[in-house]
Amino acid sequence: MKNGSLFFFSVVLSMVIFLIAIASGPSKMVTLERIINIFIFKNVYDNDFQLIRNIILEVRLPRVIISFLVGASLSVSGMTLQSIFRNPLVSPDVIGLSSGSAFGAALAVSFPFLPLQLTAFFFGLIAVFLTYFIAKIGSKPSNSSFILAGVIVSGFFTSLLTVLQFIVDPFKLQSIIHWLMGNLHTANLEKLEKIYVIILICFFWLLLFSFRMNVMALGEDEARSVGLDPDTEKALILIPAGLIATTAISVAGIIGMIGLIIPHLVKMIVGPDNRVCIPFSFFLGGNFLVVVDSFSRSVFDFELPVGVFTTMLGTPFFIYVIKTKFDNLTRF
Amino acid sequence: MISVEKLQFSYGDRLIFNDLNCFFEKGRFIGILGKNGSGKSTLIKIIARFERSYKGEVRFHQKIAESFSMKDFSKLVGYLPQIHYPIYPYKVLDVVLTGRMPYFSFYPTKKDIDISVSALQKLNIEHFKDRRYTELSGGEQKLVLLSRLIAQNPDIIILDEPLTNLDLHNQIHIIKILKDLVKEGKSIITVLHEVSIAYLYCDDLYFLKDGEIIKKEKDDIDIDFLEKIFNVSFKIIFDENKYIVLKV
Repeated sequence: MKNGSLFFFSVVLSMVIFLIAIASGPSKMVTLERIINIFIFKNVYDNDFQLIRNIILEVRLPRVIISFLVGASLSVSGMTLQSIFRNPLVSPDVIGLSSGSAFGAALAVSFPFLPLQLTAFFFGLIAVFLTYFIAKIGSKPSNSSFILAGVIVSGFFTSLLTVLQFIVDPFKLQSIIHWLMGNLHTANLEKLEKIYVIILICFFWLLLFSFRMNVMALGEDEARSVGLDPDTEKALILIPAGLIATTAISVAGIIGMIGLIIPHLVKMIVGPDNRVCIPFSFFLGGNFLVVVDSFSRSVFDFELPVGVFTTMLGTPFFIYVIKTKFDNLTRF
Repeated sequence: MISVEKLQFSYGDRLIFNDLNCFFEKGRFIGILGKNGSGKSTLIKIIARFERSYKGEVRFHQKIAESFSMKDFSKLVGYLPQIHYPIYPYKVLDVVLTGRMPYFSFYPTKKDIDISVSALQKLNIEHFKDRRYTELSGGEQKLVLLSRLIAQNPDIIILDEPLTNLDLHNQIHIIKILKDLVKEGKSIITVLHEVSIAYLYCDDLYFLKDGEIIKKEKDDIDIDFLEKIFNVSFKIIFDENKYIVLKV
């Protein structure tokens, strides 16, 4: 019952935030009052009916939905990774996923015949698999070997990216840097159509595996003793968790720290049970990015990349996490 | 029930077992004793399929251990590790509930929750139900893990030093619960350090030394043998029709 009301609250909150987000932006013509008039009371006599309708349906709504899905995806991915690696410092950035995608996108910008989103997505997944297989070399894959492999893979792709930035022509360099900062202003219906199916499939897949994640979060031996093979489980959970995050990164660039902040907030509010955490981090992460994105496009006269905001918010949070969770981490 | 044949195992260059053979009977309370490094934990880990890089054969009811699926094996054999490091503050009930994993694919049902609660009741720790597992003491956490094992309901329960970190009351509490489980038809194999407890409560005793396993009847207390195994002196006291073995 408690979880039911939490779910209800999340849905209502999302709707309110959506409305406010749609009403905020550079065009002063679109106000909350007019949106309600046009879409709820179907008031066709408004003079700017068609214009406002177009702004909302083709510009604002896709952007808000994409922001929501991107925030939700990164949060769910981070939540999942923290559970299966039993490490509260893990996020899509740590296992090499973000830097892999970043390199892929930069490659596509430099060589325009490559499709940007697909390439980012492809290299993001390659990075995850590389991390997975490097961790498996030698002995059994342990938690620390995963993190180390993530650091190695991140470093590798970051250096490839630097090489690319060095040799590419200055005009392309600018768009690479812009993409790296993470932004949502290129969001449109076409992009939304490309990502939503994958994101929803991965989300429901992870929701299905949420109790098994609880078992994994207790420890590998504890999972094995109740009949789950830790390596198989990791693969079954890591692939959708990687897919959902690369899909988000491929459309929005590097939006740092969300995959770390939101899982921690969620765990503080509802505890560590993934059956609640996965859906809740979907809603909280989604709403969080919608709010931050609304800020980034209405606070200043120009639009600041949203990734800058989230990373700034994330830095003090990260310090807090290290300080409070360090006791648990020294055991690795 | 369990037979170990021609077992060979080494950690790197260090040979633990060269040619170990033994047989454990069904429905018994079996204690495994020996000095540190004698291979007690290794042996039960091999039996519980946690250590798989060995040569030789382990069979359950004549069937080779490796031929069971993980799910079926976890219904047959349950294992309580010596130490467990929790990371996230799960509720005690949620920890116990993970013991039911062999009986469903994705989500536990109401029945699984009921079984988990009654497993907590069996250990008289039902009041821990909504507390955070990480906030319990080491001994209390062990009681919770034992409840999880009871919820898992395997035929054979293997425990690695279940009494360490426990106060005296809980030591006897756990031993009595294990005794009850044997009465219900379960088989128990446990590594123990306390010789006196082993002689008082176990049905069969196995001693490990230099890669050899020696079975002893519990009524046949051989002081010389014990002193050779442990390098300490022992004394026997006869009280209330029981022989009590004490280290001195």
